[in-house]
Amino acid sequence: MQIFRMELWRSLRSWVYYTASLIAILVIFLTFFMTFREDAALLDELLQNFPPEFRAAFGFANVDLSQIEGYLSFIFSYLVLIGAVYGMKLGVSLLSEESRRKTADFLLSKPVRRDQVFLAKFSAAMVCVIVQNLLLFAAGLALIPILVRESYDIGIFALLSFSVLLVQLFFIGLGQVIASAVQTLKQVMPIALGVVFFFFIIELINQSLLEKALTYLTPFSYFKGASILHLHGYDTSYLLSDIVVFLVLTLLAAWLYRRKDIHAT
Amino acid sequence: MNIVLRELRAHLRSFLIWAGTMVFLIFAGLMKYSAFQKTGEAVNEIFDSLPAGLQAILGMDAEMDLTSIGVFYSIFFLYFLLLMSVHSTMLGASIIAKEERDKTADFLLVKPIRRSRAVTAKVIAALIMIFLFNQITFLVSAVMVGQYNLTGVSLTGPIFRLMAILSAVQILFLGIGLFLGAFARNAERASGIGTGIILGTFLLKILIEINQDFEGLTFLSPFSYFNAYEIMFDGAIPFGYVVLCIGTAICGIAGTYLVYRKRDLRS
Repeated sequence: MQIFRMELWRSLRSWVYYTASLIAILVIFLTFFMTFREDAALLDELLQNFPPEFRAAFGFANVDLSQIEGYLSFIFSYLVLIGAVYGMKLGVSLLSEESRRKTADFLLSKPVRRDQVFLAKFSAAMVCVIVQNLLLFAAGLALIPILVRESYDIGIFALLSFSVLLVQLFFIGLGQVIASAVQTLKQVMPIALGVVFFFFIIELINQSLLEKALTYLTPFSYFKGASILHLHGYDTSYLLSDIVVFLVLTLLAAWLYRRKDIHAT
Repeated sequence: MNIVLRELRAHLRSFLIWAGTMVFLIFAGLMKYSAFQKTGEAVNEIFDSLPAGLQAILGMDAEMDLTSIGVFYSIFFLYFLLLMSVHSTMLGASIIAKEERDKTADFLLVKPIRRSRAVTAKVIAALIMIFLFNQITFLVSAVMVGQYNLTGVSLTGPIFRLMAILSAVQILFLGIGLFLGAFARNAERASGIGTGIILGTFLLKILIEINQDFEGLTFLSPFSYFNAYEIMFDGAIPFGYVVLCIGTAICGIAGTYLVYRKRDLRS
């Protein structure tokens, strides 16, 4: 419990920054919906004449941006990116922080098992992202009616909003594995940003084609706005692969962490 | 000279990882070209039937062959910008700030050299690395695109122009990173602020795209300075933005010297 509390306290500052940025970005983009919708309506009319392959190739998602739900899905494709950076940073830094601060010997000589240390850190990360997503969702619920003054589908918004969490889980898993597999990580952010942008670019490459098999490679393809709007829910196979990847990576990280040779200085 | 070599060696592993990632992405992106080409042919026909006004709205001109490898490659520009901005910013921040983090600042600075010489060596090492990163991207692109290019018209020139522009953006982000490394309290903070700048300017690009009222802010987002297609095929290089990139970088580097000279380094 002590470790858990310590980790939460340590993560607080960056948690505040990222949570505030997510909410700020949501607000800024929402503010421009009213002016954007007229252009979007024109563009949408125009795009209806094109085959879906064309729209995909040029990055026009198959959603109507003049509708608030479509516009929200557009905003969330970027909020997911920011959230993913945070998730990755969290996953990488939790398990590598002690070596960097040279406090590993302090922590690990306490009468707790490595598994307990891992569990405490992992739970702290979960609390961080879950609370973050609840706040983002609540902020949306409170602000969309004020900024847009239009009725919208709350279910769709909830699905979009919590897709941030689901993508974060993927990256937390990946971050934990990297942190426990590498001997000492000197820096977190270059790895976090590099890996997240790598997956984001894979998604951008995917976007230009409608080939489904390759989309399993990147979590940014799992919860796309177009499919959420279309299905009124998550695509089960993607949801499943997201959760499975998260669980497998977390267990792998726990296993690696248990046998890791951690140097005191 | 010793410091330059030392820095190059210290960053070798991360450089190789970055280079490998870049090569993989170019490879993966071009692998999909054949599929893109198939969809493109149908699109070309529809596109030609559109009135010129609509073509302009979509930001393309009539001669543009959507199935050509050159046009397809110009889409990669954004990927390069994203990767290179992260690489340059983080490299700049860490090369300066890592001495304190690794508790080697006292070791370096008791050497009989001025602080400014240590900074100069680090700046040179960083410039060498971003140049090499750029050149690897160029060579792999030129060779790979050459493989797929069946038109007989070489694309090496246009790709080279694109890389020259990219190097201006790299230098810009390197300047910002170096300054953050000297200015921020520690390495962690420097890379944190760097992350904020990269993500913030990237989102600003998106905002500018959806809202014309923001066009006046274009100068704040390096991601929206350049249009890859125009650079590659119209030879239109917006020199104003190139100067802005290099000017900002010079300010950043000058700031690095000023701040680092007076910095209270903890050992």
